[in-house]
Amino acid sequence: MLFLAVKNQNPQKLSRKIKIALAGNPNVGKSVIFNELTGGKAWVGNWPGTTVEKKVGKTKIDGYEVEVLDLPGIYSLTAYSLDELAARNGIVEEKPDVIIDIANAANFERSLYLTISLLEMGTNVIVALNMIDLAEAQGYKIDAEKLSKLLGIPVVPTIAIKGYGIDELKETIIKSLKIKRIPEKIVDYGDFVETEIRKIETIIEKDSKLSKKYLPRWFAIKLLEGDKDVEKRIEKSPFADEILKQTQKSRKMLDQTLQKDVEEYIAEKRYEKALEIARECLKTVKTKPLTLTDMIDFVTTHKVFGIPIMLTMLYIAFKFAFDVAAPLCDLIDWFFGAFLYDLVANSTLPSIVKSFLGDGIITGVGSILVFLPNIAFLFLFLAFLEDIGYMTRAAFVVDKIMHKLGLTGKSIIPMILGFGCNVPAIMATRAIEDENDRKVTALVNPLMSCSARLPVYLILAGAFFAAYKGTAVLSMYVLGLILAIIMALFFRKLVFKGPSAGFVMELPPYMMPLVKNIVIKTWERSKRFLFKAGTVILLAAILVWVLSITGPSGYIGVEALEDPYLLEKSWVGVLGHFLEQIFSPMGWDWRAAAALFFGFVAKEVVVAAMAMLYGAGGEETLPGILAGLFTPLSAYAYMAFVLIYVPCLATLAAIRSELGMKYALFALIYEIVLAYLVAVGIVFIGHLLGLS
Amino acid sequence: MIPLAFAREGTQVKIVHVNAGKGLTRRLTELGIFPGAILKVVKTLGHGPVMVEICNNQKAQPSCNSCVLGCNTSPNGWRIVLSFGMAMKILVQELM
Repeated sequence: MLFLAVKNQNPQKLSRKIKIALAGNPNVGKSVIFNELTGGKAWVGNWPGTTVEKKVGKTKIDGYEVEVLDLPGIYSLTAYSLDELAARNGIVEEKPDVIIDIANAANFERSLYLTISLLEMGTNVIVALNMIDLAEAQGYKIDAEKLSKLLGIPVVPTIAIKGYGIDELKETIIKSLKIKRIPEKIVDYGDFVETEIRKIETIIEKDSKLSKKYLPRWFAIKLLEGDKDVEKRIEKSPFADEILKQTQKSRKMLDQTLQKDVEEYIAEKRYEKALEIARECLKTVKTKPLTLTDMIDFVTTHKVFGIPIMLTMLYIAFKFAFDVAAPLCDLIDWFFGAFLYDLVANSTLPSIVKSFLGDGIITGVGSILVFLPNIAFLFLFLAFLEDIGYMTRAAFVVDKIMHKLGLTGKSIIPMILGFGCNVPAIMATRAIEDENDRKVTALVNPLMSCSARLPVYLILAGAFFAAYKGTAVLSMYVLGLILAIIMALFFRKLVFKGPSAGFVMELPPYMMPLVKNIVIKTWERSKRFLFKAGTVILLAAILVWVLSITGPSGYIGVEALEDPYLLEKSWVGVLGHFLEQIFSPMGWDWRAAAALFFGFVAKEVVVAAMAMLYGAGGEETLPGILAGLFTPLSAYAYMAFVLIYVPCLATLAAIRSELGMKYALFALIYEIVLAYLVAVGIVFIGHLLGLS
Repeated sequence: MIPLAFAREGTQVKIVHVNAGKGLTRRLTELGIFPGAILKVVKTLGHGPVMVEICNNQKAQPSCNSCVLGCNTSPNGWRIVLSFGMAMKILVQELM
């Protein structure tokens, strides 16, 4: 009633805009709640100054326009990890009206640790107690009312993947806008520490600007914890010197009195508080039954069967991506290669426009879009493996082998994701704790054969290894994997020396993923491919077309794309002949060499450029033309070269933003050298074996 | 006292010391791995990673008997995997 009364008094508030943020540990169903609230529509960007993904969605609740901010999945709010810092800065800078802390009922005290950290910041928090069904299946219940009382904030039990509790959550958001929560002491750190916190707090309070923006107590605790980011934020305050001096004094004093590191002590106290609250709220604890997760884990993490199971999963992924998608690929091929091409060819447009549309855009972009179904299905299966919770198990089983290779088990996750696309894979390396492990994993990732290279393999393998097409393509993936391992070992021994710090990682229980979530994930990633086809690849195709019909002597004419002798006089011809000399040991045609040059933009462009330069379209298919110009041996060397040489522009950009420009250049150079050596090696060995 | 990496499958262990840097110690603490905590070793893969389950209530009932009770009634079904290297840095005492 009170709620209604307030609403009536302020009718103008009905159209108010509010901002909410979603926080929570990884794997608590945060994205499910995000999708439930926003309908899955999101704008994706980066948090300022970082490469951490920022997702923003919009929704309407009760007349309010609500902006929903998805914070990265985190365990606490330290300045140690990029994700945590981004989340914390997100809260500080964006000032959400309400923070929904999604707690995992099935992993309660760890979730509470984050809840407590959020409350310490002085934010307006609502706890969404998610996965209560899972907790009940494990034989216990959580008293939500009691939890709400103990924390002094609203608690809403939810089962997000069934949509349960979402409406109540929305109501609670609106209600909590009306209540001004006064930040109080959540954790009592004991007399010694509290006295020092108070001392620092008092100085911070002198700076009204600072203490208005941040909760002084929170800053004081963070300073005691030695938080570098908070220290930076204080720098500009007129009381900065005084604050830092007091902090140093307090830390030194406490280190001595507590006989341990203050920072460690504070984290432990916070964890104890979380345990204490958890204990009070747990009801009807039964003996834990053997869960389905236990049973599945018995097999998937088995000493002997674990690795074969992982390989089978990957085999199924590729089988699925190729066989199931094949009819769709044929359909798209027919649409571009036959229908659209003929439509343009038979039209009455001027020949230069016809050529631009037919030979340039349709042939160029069409030859890439054919592979959209393959790529989307591969992304779909990888998203399924991720969401079901399998990836972490794969990391567990391979850790022993990976350790021998100088990597850690966790490296396998970016490596498998690399089969889809290297860009998200390189971002995924962030989860690796050890800095050297992370760098090596990111640097060898472009060797994992991403879906962009697939078009090249399929075209060449189709033309030269018809009966063994599948094997030839598979061999590329294996070659990439072997090279990645060799290079990792090499880098670890020579460049990034020293033992690995190892890793810790949570194993979430297996969960039947939501179809909606997998579809959204697949769509987001496939969209990137479509976007690429519409922008970078389209531009590259136009560039190839323009450089093909013009040359040092000026305009040559669109006939160049039909007539190889004319084409030789074009810019592409000049470039191709130059590159042909470099690639002479492999015996590649100059047009193939020129295509490699354009492939630097994105590897699919190699196919687009070849299709254009060899004059494919209509009756003449690209594999048919290529059959006369390559030998199986030189085609295989070409496939290997495309696999290895230069990461695409987007991948280079990802390496640069994750590791820095130096490493991006390093990756570029080592890959070109490696590609050349491997291609020459393949031709050389082929000749020795008597193949031509 | 032995490194966690050498603990036998199926045993319960109490953490005595964590030999790691600041950031790492902190992260382990957040996951519930710190001196005094009690873990159940779920699975080991030879000289490979170790899978553990964190037992609840360890701080309240630090004595051995109650800790066994705590683990059996643990609502915490989530598991943590530590690489071999990491498990070598954690010194534990076997409880049973």
